[in-house]
Parts: sequence; C-alpha cells; structure tokens
Amino acid sequence: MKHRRSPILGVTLLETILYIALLAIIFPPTVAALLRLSQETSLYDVQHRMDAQAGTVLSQLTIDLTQAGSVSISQSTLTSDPRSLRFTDSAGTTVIVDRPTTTVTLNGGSQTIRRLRMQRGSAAPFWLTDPDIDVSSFTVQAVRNASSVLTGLRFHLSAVMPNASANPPYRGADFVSDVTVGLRPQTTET
Amino acid sequence: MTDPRHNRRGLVLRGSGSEGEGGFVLLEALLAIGTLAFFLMAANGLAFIAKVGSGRTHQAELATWTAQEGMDALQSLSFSSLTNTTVGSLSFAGGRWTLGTSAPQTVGTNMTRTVKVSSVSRDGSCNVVTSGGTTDADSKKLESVVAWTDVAGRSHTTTLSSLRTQWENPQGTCFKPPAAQSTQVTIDFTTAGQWFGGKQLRMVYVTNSGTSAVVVDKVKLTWTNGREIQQLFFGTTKIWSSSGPGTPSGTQQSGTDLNAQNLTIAAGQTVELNKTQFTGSMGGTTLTLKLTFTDGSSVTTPPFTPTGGNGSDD
Repeated sequence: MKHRRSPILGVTLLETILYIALLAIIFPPTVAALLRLSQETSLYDVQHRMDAQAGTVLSQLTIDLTQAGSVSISQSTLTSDPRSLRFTDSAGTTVIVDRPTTTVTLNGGSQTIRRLRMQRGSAAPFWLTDPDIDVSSFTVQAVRNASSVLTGLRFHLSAVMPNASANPPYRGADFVSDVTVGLRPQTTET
Repeated sequence: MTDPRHNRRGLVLRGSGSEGEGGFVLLEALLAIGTLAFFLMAANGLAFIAKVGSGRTHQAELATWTAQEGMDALQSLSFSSLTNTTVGSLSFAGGRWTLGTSAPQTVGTNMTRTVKVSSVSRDGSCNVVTSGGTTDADSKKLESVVAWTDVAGRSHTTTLSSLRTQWENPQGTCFKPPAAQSTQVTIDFTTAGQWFGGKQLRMVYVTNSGTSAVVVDKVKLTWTNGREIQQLFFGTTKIWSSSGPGTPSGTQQSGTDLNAQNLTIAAGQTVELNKTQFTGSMGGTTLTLKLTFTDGSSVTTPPFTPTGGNGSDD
C-alpha cells in the first residue's frame, strides 16, 4: 500500500532546519555585536570621563595661572620628578601643583597611580584628578619671549584609566594634550 | 485514529488542516527573525551613532584645546615677533614658540592648525574698523584655526581670535598715555609775586602752555611764620575761604591742602593767584606753592619771597 507523504511533515522539518540555520547564522554575530556594543559603551563612558576630567584640570590651571600674581620657576621642579609648580594666586597665596604617587583601592584590588594635587597656602591639599585616573605624564615648561621674559607655561598631560581588575592594566581610555597657558602682563616671575 | 496533524499543532502553532499552513509557519519564522534582526540592527545603529558622537565630541574637545594652544602661543611671543601671515605655523623649542609660515600644520590625527596674524585698523577715535581707518602700529589680530575631520568623514573648523596690543611700549597715539597735567603748567612767582596790604598775596601767575585743559584738585601753600590762611582766589574766582567755598573750613595753618574746586585752566590760559589772604602781616615771608592736578601729578615752586608786604595788620 502506497502512503502519500504529507507535505506538512516535510515542510515543517525544512522549516525547522531553516529556522535553526537562520538562527545559527544570525545569533553569533548578534551576540558578538551585543558584546561589542556593551564594551564600546563602557569605553565611551570611560573616555568621556577622561576627557571631562582632563578638560576640567586644564581649565582650572588656566584660570588660576591667568590670575596669578607671580610664578616661581626657581622654586618649582619642572624638569625632574616629583614635579611641582609653584605660583601665587591673585590674593598672594602660594599655590602648589604636584603629582604624588598614591595607592587606590579598586574593585579588582589596589593599584598605585599618580594623581594631580593642588594646595593653596596652608589649607589642606586637594586632588585635581579622580582616584581611578592615572596621570602618567605631567610636565611643565617655562615659555619665554625673545626678551626671555616669562610669558607662559606649557603643560603636557597624559592620563590613562586603570582597569579595575588590573589585567590588562588599562581600560584603553587615555587623554594626551599639550597646552600652553599664556600669562597676563601682571604676572611676574620670581 | 489520531490525525498526525493534531500532534503538530504545538509546533505549527496555527495548524488549520490546510496543506498550505507550512508556508505560513515559514513566513512567521522569517518575520520573527527579521524583526529580531531589525531590532539588533537598530541597536547596532545606535551604538554606531553613539560611537560617532563620542568620537566627534572627543575630537572637538581636542580641537578646542589645540586652537587655544595656538592662541596662547601667539600671545607668548614678543609683539615684534608677530609678523603678518595667513599661513602661520608654530614650533616650540628651547622654551620658546616660533612663528613660521608653513601652515596648515598637522597637529594630530586628521587635524591641522593654521595661525594668522594681521594688522588692525582704527578710526580717528581709536575704534577698530574693518574698512578704512589707519593701521594701528600697536595692535595685531590673532587667529588660530583648527580644521579636523570626524570619524564620519565630515570636516569641521574651530576658530579662535583675539587682539594683541603693544601696551608696554606703544608707538601710535591710541595707546600712549596722556602727558601728566603738571608738565603743561608753569608758575611765574619770581617776577611778580607781591604782598598787598601786607597780608594779601597777588600776581603769582599760573600758565597752561599745553594743548589741553588742566584741572587743579588741591592747592597747598607753605610759609615760615605762624599766620594762617583765610582765602584763596584764582583770577576773580574764590576757590577756597575759611567760611567756604571748599574745604577744610576755618583758617588753616601752613602746609594744609586746600580743595581747589576742580579749577580748570584752559589750554594757553594764564590765571593769577589772586587775593590770597592771611591772618596777619606776611612781609618777608618765604613761601612755596604746590598745585596738585586731578591726574595726581603736581607742580611745586621752590621757596620764594614775594615783594612788598610792609603793611601792618597784626
């Protein structure tokens, strides 16, 4: 006796195979895309924080230095670590900017990083950078005109974001900038 | 007998007994996958937009800092080093910025900077004008232009501009400070100072030989006896007396600043220190006269002894 195959069974199997095949094709890149999306979103957030933090620090230095009464090149340590910059603000208070090394505790453990710090007069020093940003490079150069008058300061700032688990060491976000801050005529060199 | 199609209802979902239902199942599956793919593509699109936006923001911030650095570098140069150029480039060596002419200068990935220096024209009132006027020897217009291409390939430009003034050594007229008022004034006390009635000083002449008016803020006389001053005239105007106008009130001892009521002496005008009266005979007394002007400058005579003064009013 001849049985006629129901076309539904065959088609359903084919559909199932097709369905699985399509899913097999679509799922891997989809999952990969989602993972990449998650990672990149995290990186954008970190990068954005880096930009904002570095911008804030440079703006703070620019504002302070354009109002400075004097800049003490001789008492600053501009060419060797630990670097420091010493100037007086508009009220005559001595301001010191330096980059000490400090240990911070992140989710993945403790890490040694370098942070920018500012101290005004005898007040307690305060941090200019967040504890999860490592200021890997901070250099200051005196800028002079043709008459050797101090007319500005040139900063090189490099910062990276340590990884919470310390492996790999950085999260891939960094900020590098060279900024020259022009001093106003009332600012003298001491 | 069980209809095998009934067992497939769970799989087919919408089994209707029609042989054509297999096509509907495939369509549904494709629709579901298509919908999923659509949403995933949308999510990827959002991620791409976020990436582009983040990258553009990052580059825009770097461009702003780069342009600002160009501006500050120009400001750090000596005024004499600012030669006009539309293709200026900057290099830093030995603690000094140098202005070159090889712009556009590559300053980062997909980023160039051009600095420009140009002359500034001002009108007769020293206001900056874009056409006409005369070139101001003490001003330069500075521009820092940063051009960059974002991750989407679009071109952007960030431009900062400012004026630089040679305020410390101005050569033109707009920034030269006016001459001190005292430099325009001479006091003639040697030939004409005389006592009238023994206690009233007249005929000391103050001349403004300059090209602009001067304004006397204070007058101070010193003398060598214990008399006190009662009144002070310049020309026919009483500018101070013990009972007013002016301050301080009451007769005053030697060396007191008397408020001159902002006495104005026009350019080329000569006024007489007139009817300056004391409380007693001043014959033979030696005086000095100091005029302090509203700009803070002052002129003081050396000690002089007016003629006359033999009257006795003690």
